[in-house]
Amino acid sequence: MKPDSNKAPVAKGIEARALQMAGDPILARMLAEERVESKVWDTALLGRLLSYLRPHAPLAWLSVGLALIEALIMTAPAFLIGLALDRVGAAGGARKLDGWLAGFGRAEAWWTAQTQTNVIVMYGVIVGALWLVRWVVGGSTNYSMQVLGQKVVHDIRVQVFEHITAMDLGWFHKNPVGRLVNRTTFDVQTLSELFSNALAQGVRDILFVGVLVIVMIGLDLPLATILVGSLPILVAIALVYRHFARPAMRTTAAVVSRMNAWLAENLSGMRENHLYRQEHKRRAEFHALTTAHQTSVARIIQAWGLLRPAMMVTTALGTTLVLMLGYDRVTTGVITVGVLLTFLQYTVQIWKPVRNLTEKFNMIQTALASAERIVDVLDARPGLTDTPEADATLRVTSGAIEFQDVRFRYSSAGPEILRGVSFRVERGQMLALVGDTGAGKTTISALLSRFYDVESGHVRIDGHDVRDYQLKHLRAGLALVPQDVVIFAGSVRENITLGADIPEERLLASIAGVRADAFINRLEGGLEHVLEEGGRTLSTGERQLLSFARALCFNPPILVLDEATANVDTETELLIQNALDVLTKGRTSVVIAHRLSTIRSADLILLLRAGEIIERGNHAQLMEQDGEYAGLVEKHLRTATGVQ
Amino acid sequence: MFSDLRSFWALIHPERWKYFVGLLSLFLVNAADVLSPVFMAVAIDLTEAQLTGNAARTTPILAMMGLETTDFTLTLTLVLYMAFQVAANAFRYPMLMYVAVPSHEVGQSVRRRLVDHLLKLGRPFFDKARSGDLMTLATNDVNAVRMAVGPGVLVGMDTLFIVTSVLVVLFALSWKLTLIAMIPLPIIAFVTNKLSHAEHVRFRDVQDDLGKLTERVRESYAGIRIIQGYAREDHDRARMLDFSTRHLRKNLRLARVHSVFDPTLDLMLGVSTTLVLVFGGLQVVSGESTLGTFVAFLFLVRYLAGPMIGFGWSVSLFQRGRASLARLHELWATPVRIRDDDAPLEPTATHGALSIQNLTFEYGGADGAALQDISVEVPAGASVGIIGPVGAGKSTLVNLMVRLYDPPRGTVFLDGQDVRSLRLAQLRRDIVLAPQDTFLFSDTVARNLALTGDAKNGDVVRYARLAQLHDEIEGLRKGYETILGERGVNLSGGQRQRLAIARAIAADPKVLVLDDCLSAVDASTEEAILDGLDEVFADRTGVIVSHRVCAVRRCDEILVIDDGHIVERGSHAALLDADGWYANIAREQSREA
Ligand SMILES: Nc1ncnc2c1ncn2[C@@H]1O[C@H](COP(=O)(O)OP(=O)(O)OP(=O)(O)O)[C@@H](O)[C@H]1O
Ligand SMILES: Nc1ncnc2c1ncn2[C@@H]1O[C@H](COP(=O)(O)OP(=O)(O)OP(=O)(O)O)[C@@H](O)[C@H]1O
Ligand SMILES: [Mg+2]
Repeated sequence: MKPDSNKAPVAKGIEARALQMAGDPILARMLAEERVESKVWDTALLGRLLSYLRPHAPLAWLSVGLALIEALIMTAPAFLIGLALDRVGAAGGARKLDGWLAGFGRAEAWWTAQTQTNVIVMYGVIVGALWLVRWVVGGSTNYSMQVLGQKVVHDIRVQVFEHITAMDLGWFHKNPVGRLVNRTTFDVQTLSELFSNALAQGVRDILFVGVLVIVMIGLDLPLATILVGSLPILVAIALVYRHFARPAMRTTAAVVSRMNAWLAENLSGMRENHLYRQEHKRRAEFHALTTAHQTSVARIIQAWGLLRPAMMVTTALGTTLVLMLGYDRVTTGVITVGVLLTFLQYTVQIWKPVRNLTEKFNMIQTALASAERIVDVLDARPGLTDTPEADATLRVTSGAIEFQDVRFRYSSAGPEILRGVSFRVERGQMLALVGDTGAGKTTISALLSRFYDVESGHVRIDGHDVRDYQLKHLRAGLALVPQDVVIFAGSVRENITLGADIPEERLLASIAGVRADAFINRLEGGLEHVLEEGGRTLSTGERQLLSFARALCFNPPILVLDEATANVDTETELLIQNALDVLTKGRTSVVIAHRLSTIRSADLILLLRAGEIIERGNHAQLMEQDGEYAGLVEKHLRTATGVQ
Repeated sequence: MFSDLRSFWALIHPERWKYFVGLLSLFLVNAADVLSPVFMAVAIDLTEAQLTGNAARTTPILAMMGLETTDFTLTLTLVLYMAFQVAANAFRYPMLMYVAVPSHEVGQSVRRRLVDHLLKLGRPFFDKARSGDLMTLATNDVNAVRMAVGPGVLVGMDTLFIVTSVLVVLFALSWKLTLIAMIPLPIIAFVTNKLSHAEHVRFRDVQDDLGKLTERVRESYAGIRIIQGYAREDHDRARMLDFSTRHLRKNLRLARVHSVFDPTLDLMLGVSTTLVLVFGGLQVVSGESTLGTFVAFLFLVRYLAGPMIGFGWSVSLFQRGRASLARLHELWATPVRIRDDDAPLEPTATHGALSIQNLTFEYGGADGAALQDISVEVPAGASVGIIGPVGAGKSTLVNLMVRLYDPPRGTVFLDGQDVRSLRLAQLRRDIVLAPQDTFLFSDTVARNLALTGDAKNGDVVRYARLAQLHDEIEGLRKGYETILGERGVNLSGGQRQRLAIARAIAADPKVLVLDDCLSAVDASTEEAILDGLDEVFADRTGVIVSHRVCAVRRCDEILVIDDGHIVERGSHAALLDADGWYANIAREQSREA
């Protein structure tokens, strides 16, 4: 668990308000996480994001190329309209850029009857054609950008998933499933906005501003200066906005994550909410969160409501200045009315990209925050990996197990859970672990599959330290029936085989072996029956039987049964026992059980207490010792029969 | 379509006055915005007049107001232009605060309504529901609705205002030119309609698929122990790749419609501009209109550009919102089946006598009745044990007592009153079930224990002691204040189970139902707990489900359930004498060791 001691700076302003409204301790923690400053222009992060474009480089360049063409086309109509005006208007005159248009002039000359009507029609046709081209180019730009964005996002999503599924269990315990799911779907989705929306528009807008500035300078420098001069002011306004909106955005992000986590948890725990009449309390909790959300969102809107007018008034000021200066320059004959007209249209056009960028700022900010969270996950190194010495050819074949003075704790600060455990089991033998709850039995089984690494000592299988195996080969050598059953949404068959190629006979034999055939046959569709999430419509015992069948079906050298029949009745249990003798002949088994009958025939019984082995031997030996185990057996006998 | 509008209106209704103020501001913004280009036109006309030396002509719109261009100086024109701009922008603030903020309020109320409804829906719904879907609903769909009533309305109304006011000004300037500029309008209507329909369908498809993808991911993470334990990561990744690829495909399908949307509307604007350029230009040449009018015209047509693209945007927002609202309505339409009667019975004094009469129950699948003709009487203070093979119907029976599923009327009674007629809250106060597999909230141990909040602090410790849990909790780093990991990952299986028992006892019910709550507990702890339970059950009615004879042995009556039927019943001794299934099991279990 996360130490709660990391002193978060005291929340102020909107953050404090939201916290107080929600009255939720977990929100405070999430807010602290959000407060980890994400640098907007974190170049490393941006570089990393851009690197995802590399596999799609041709598409990326195509998109940028198309965007450039579109930017060029976007500047043309205003220019041409001004030009047309000068050609027909009484106020026409020489224009600066005319030199560039010599070729164009020749085409114009070709228009033999140089009547004004013809000129106008010609410009009309050109402008119309340009617009048509823009339609094609614009549509293609949009689409190629979208394809690019979605592909990148798909890549990231798959990568994040693969990375997370390679992490170790300890890491999973620190990161709630809901959060990890959010990283893989929600955050990646947010990031998609960055790629298909912000990037696309951003590239186009920046190119557009660039082209526009060049054309304007070409037309008239002083007027261009006014417009270009207004750009820094617009940017400054955007920065001020960001400063004010930032805490509110952060709070909103935290509240949203909290709401999602809240939902995920309460959807899973709905039955407990009903059984313990928590509906009103939960309702109140959620309503409080929505109130906090509303408050922080309102603050963002308020900041935005001030930003936008400020920007628009600035542009209006720019227009006024252009008109004022333009009046002078036209009347003194420096520029034509047409040029003035072009400029006026540009003033309207130039601020749009800037506005877009600011508007997108919100989104970019959120997307970058998401990106950062994703990168955090991707940067987390699994606590467990194949060691460099791991031998790729090594396989678990015989199934001998040895623990040598194993010490272990779940976290370095936590208590020592195993305190010097040593034992040895030969191939085909049965090892039984008994002891109080919390003694460390499940922990021993987890160490076998190397879900955790020991603190000191060795865990050996077939005489090799488990760290000498590649993880996948090690784990393929063991089958685990865990204490808490996991059932996936999907067919019964898939749940048992986990998608592996398992011969039908073996599958059927395993199912029959655990006596699951009776209830599976009752299900509609039998093996192909599709189970709900978590197998909710099965009884607890039925779920456990499926989980057991799964292990038998893989039938590797070592079988680990952690309370595998705890929810199964004695009759069925006995039948399974008999079947096991046949199905797992020659396999080593590790059995954890509270019911001593199950382990009577074990070759080695270890009695654990608080992480230590206090007695060992087979049943007969232990009974002879007349120690704790014998006492346990006797007590069991007494209570079970009711014969006092 | 109209029913959609109605349901949107229903959402907005509580906020309608704010919307009214906001939209009024929007109107003022637009009015000021539309008038300012007129002054731009005047400025140009003045400039041209100055340049050519001709007297400036008056654009019709000024003439309509009884003004002439010569009434203005350049400075005055520019001042007026600025004044109108400032006014327009000043109104932008109330516009946002009275539309955008309330739209979020609508979003919150949708969100609350969703959660309120979910909290009411019972097991039968959650058995079948996909949690990924529900999450998508609560996040993406609520957001889509919010966008529709926020930016969607704002931009939509903006379009309406601007288009009408621009059209008025345009008509005033030149009606001929206006009609010409409007030629593309019907095409726009047609195209938007077609495109937005396609967008609606495809967006819904994407949202549905997102739910599935989310669920796939969630399952893999939740079951990581199995996936890694069986080294099936590769298979799992391949499956995820399929899901992600399919999602990509669906998104691209949406992108295809989406990409042509804006450019198409823009093209229509282009057609208008071209038409204005040609015909307006001709009018200037023939002297029918002034250069200033022509310029104003060009600008005003451009003013249509924003709205036209905005129009497309708002239609697409509306379509998405419509798709999402439909999904939400689908959920809201799920009837709450397990609920209070319209006139629930007032409980008589509760003693805790349970009575089940001829209860037959089926889950509604194809596999027949889960329980058949069950009748049991448990007097107040007595206890009943339930035992039987896997899948026999034991949990089903106890679930029906607390109405996790609804039993038929007239079958289950508490103190002589049909549980179906009792207030749910009352019933679940009186009967508390500790379910077979516990769910722990990631909250402190103390709060998990005293969920109902009825227990006082000292009591918490007492209950933990009864469940043989106190010492271990004390051993945790922060004792009772330790925050449990998700679902209690940092506890052992037995610890979790005992927490569940303690939690049930802490709720202090009249009838305590334990569904196989000791399966992961070792024999001696079990013994200690059972001894403790004797004290707990002293003044309560008890129902104990177990696979172990030792747990049910002390009950006044024991039921053996097999395949939904009661096959044996009686006291421990009587059942042993009967030498049936129970006696057989008892023998087996006593051979243990
Ligand atoms: N992920 C974890 N993080 C921290 N502590 C843990 C974790 N899992 C278990 N523990 C602690 O380690 C101890 C041993 O747990 P383990 O699950 O091995 O017990 P067990 O013998 O299998 O008990 P049971 O019979 O109840 O299943 C317990 O005190 C438990 O609280
Ligand atoms: N929600 C459900 N929907 C449909 N069928 C169900 C549902 N829950 C249980 N069943 C089926 O009803 C039967 C009885 O289930 P129940 O959970 O009552 O068994 P049980 O006696 O408690 O078994 P166990 O000892 O395994 O806990 C089983 O065959 C099971 O598959
Ligand atoms: Mg059950």
